[in-house]
Amino acid sequence: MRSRFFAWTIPASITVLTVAFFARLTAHRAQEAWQPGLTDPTVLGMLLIAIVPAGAFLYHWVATRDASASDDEKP
Amino acid sequence: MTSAHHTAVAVFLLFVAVTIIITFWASRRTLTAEGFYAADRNVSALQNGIATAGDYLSAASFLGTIAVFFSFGTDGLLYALGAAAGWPLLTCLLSEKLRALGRYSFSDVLCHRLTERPIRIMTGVATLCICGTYLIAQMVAAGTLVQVLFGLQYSHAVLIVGALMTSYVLFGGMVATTWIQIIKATMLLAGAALMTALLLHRFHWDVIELFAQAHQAIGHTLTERLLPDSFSAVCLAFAFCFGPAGMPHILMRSFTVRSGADARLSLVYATALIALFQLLVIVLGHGALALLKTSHGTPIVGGANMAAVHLGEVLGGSLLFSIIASVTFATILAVVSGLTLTAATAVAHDLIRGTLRPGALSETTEVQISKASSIVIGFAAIGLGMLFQHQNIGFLATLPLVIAASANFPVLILALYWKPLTTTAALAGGWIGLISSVVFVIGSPKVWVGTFGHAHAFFPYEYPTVITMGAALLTAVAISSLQNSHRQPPTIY
Repeated sequence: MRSRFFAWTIPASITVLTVAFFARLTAHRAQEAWQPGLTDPTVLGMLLIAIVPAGAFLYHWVATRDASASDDEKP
Repeated sequence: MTSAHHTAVAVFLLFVAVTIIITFWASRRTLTAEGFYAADRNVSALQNGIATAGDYLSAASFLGTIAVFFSFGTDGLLYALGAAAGWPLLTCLLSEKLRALGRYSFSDVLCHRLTERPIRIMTGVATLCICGTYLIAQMVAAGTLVQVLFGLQYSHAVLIVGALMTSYVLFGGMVATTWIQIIKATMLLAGAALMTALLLHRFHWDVIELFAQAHQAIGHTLTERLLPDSFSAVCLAFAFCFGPAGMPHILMRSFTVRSGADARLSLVYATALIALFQLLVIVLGHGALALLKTSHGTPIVGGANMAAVHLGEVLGGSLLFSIIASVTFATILAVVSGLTLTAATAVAHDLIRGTLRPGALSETTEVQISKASSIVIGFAAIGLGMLFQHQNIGFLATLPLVIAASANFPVLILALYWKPLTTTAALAGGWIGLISSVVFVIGSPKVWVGTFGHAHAFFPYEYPTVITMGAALLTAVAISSLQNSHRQPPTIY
């Protein structure tokens, strides 16, 4: 069942990324000058927020496919 | 009152009128326990998703996060990301199991495999602590906001909020609460989207220019940090990541849909709406920095918490000021009604049912007790709102997430996914998480020094979640392991 794997890895990944982001942002003040790019905390924070619903949707998609596959296997 | 105040009052009265009509319509569906607590399990996934997002997006999410951007610059990202980060855990690990095993409160899920009476008492007390602190924070916020937004007195605002939230729950139960959340979440998202569109229009739809001006303002004026050290930051991240999975009013929403798949899908909707809202808040937070922050750091009327409302006035004049003001007040009203229902459920379904012998309480009597409890909770919330008028509400707003992550989440996740868990271990873990989280938050520098005026805090960090949640988990695992090792192996021959 792939959904069981994703059920743990998706929240775990997002938790690890969030904790790392919190620790990093608090330890190092953001640059005063705005530098567009992936290293900028604002851009990185927005990307992480965008990943969150994507992860939830990915799990829902996998779980729905798993459920329909197990329905097909039933006699 | 100015014309802006009149418009704000008119928009708010319109919201109240609509919600009272909904409550009257819903009152016919709250006669049974399933109707009162779970809206007859007839809420669609989309409706429940919007209502769940509404339950979570309180005034703190809107005013508070923009205020943090305004006061601490990019540190506001912590609140924006944190608000979204805990939802995949709920979606992936809890939603379907909650719907399959629970009836009206999350303690039903625990009682499937643990001894009912002590577990219900423990979860009931934790739920009352979480809802109580959250309610006080919302009442104090409502009273303070109304002075600036509508020009009314603090005590009047607290009385209005208390009376309305009690009426919604007393007559409308979960059906009315769900629809009020749906309306409020839609208003809040539409208001934030409108403000963002006006803000970006002012910057010729150039987000990079907006961020550049905001960062310029940060460089001129900001010297303080939101959190003093990385450990406090990690603790706050833990509260955000694991707190939603222990918030009773959020967990209760899983029981209102038709199936486990619907519960999962509704949380996908909720996650998407919350993430979208937080992205809008990040843009608005930068807008507040770019447009409201001056190089001299002049304070704005009503303090940093009013930055969002003042930004609305800058972008759309007194009309948008009025709309944002009334949406904010409606937000508080909707959140407190959800909390009141959850607290009433904890009293009747967990505490009273937990202390009586099984079968002693009929479902009709239980609903009547719940309704009576909502009146008592309403009076208590009004009284506490008056009592805590001058208290620092910062710790009250974060305390529910810390308690939920420390007391409820460890017990719930172990009960669902770890077979060796025993009742004694769950109780020990839950009580240790609950008591330690309350004690350490009170002993933190923000409360012990900032609010109570002592010279030194007995807990050195701002938030204790890593320690308290870890203690709850370790205690539960250690006691379960000890108890299981002392059991006799089954006789084979």
